[in-house]
Amino acid sequence: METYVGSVSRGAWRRWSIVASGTALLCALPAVIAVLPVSASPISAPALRARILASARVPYQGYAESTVNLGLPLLPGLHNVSLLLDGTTDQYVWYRSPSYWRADDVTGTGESDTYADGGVTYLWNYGTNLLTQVTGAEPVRLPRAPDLLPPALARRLLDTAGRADRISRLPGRRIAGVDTAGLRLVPAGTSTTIGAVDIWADPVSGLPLEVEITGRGTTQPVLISTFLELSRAQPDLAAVIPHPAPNVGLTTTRLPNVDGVLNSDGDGDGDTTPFPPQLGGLRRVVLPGSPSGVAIYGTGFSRFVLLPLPRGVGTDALNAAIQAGAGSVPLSGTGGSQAGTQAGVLIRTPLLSVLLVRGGFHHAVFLFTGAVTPALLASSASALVTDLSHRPRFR
Amino acid sequence: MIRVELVKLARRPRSWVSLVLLCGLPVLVAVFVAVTHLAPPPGQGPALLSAVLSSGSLYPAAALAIVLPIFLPVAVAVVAGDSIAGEAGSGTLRYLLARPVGRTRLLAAKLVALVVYTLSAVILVAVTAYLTGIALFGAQPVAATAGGLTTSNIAATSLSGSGLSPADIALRTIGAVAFIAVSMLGVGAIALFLSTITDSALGAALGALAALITSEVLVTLNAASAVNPYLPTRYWLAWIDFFRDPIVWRNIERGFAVQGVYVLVFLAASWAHFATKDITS
Repeated sequence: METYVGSVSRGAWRRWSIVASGTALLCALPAVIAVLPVSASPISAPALRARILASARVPYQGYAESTVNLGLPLLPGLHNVSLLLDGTTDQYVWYRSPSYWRADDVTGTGESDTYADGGVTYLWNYGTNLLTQVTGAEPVRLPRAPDLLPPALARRLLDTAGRADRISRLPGRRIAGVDTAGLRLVPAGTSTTIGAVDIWADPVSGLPLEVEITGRGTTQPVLISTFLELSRAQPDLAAVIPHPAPNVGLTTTRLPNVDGVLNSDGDGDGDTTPFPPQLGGLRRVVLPGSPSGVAIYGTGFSRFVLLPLPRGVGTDALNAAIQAGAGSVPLSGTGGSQAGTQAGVLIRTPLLSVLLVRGGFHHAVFLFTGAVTPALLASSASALVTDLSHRPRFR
Repeated sequence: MIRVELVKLARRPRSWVSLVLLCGLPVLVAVFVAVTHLAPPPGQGPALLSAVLSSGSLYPAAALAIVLPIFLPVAVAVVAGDSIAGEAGSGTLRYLLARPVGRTRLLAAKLVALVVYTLSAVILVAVTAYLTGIALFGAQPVAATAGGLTTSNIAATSLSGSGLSPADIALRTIGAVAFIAVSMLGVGAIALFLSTITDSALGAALGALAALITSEVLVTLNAASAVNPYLPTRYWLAWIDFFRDPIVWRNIERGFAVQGVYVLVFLAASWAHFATKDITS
């Protein structure tokens, strides 16, 4: 005989209690694991920084997710960079040593892989069914997905930091099952858009497991890169070298992407005219072996890159930026020999600023970009346009 | 009881019509691709469809990618939604339970029939697609050589660019079939639960599909990232990881686990509700 509690039978109460308890247990499990206390590491901020910088030889393999919300428009010739810096990138990585590693940027229908094979870089793209061997050093190149991996990104950022930049400890986090120690880096310069770089790393090995970059004056990170799964087991050598199938296309190149985008010199006419030694108060930094068609100005986080774009790419980039809603920025002091003050086209994001401007006798398009303030790019562009207007038109 | 339910499933014309439609769509796509030699570029369109022109042995996986987003969940939701609600709607549930049949046993028999239908659907799609792929695109392995020695027969290229032997493809396809079947059981469990709540089979099926569409919308939403790993469709596309080299198991394992939890929770809820429900029709 069934007994009742109110209008509901005891049997129903019992059954629903079992189901509700089991469901609550299953739902609560992730939250319970998340709030388990993280063991606090006594390591100091300078020691953690040093350990992170020395962690390049720590092997690992895992799965990382990087989310960047810059809102960059798709610029011609720079599609991959725009996509990389606006959205989520999922990567499986096998890291054996600085010379032997592999990172797969995976999507639901394909993947793009990067291999470091003893000093030679291979790039596999399922979409083009092409394995590209990159020969020679790459002192300058466009960003790739592996650059967003927490270890690479953290070491690069700490390496970029100068003596004046402040570091401090942050509370630890459990990331991919590892109790990490936190480090905050606050750039001292006022011309960078980076407000803070937060890094969580294994305090023992120094391996960075999560990086967050917050723009100046904002509270939400615009870039988060974190491991969702991590193993410290060293991957086999066979796992980090490419094994192309017989029908895979093979090609060899130097400085991929760069050649397709860059013009060749300081005024865009390809006659090896040098870039100005100083722009916007920042000195040009010459990297050994870097191509002539790119210039870097400044140091630390107050640093930007100047690229003269080929005529077609440059015009398309300008149009794409304008269509994407990029604003116009007057460049002071550019009246000079030209009619009126020139204007640049500015793409403003919480972290990255991009300024496009036409200049010189050949009306080449110059692209300025970096994690610096739009004002710095505008003053640099003004200085460049003024410099170009004073150069002889015929040689 | 289980035999009765299986016979009922087999005798129902709509079961066979849905299976024919499920198998027919990939065949239709294969005919178009074979005639025109126009497959979507790699990385676009249904996964692996671009690769079938060079190897028909990959077509079962491509066919599963074709039916997975809509047709397979719809078919499973319709069958699962009809399980209890269909009997109630047609007025046969009372009579079914008037026999000395426990409600839990009836629910278990319905579940077994659902599992058999789901597995049959996924396997039939894969088998039909394999036969279609071999017939229309062929699958001639090529000899790969290393150091002048023939090392293995390569039938297709993995997403990572390495070669896959026929045995590799067969094992990976079996893995994908198992993964997709379990994913569909999650859909079936939701629809079965709704089927115990309503007397409308259509309502139960649509309810399950509404849950899936909600999940699909939330999966793409950055603002919903906190619940993303627990959504029923979050790992549906992880079967493609079987065709990477090496196979990356993380999302596959999570996909199995999440579907397992959905199946467990909704079957338990179905049991709790159906075992004590007032049967009026």
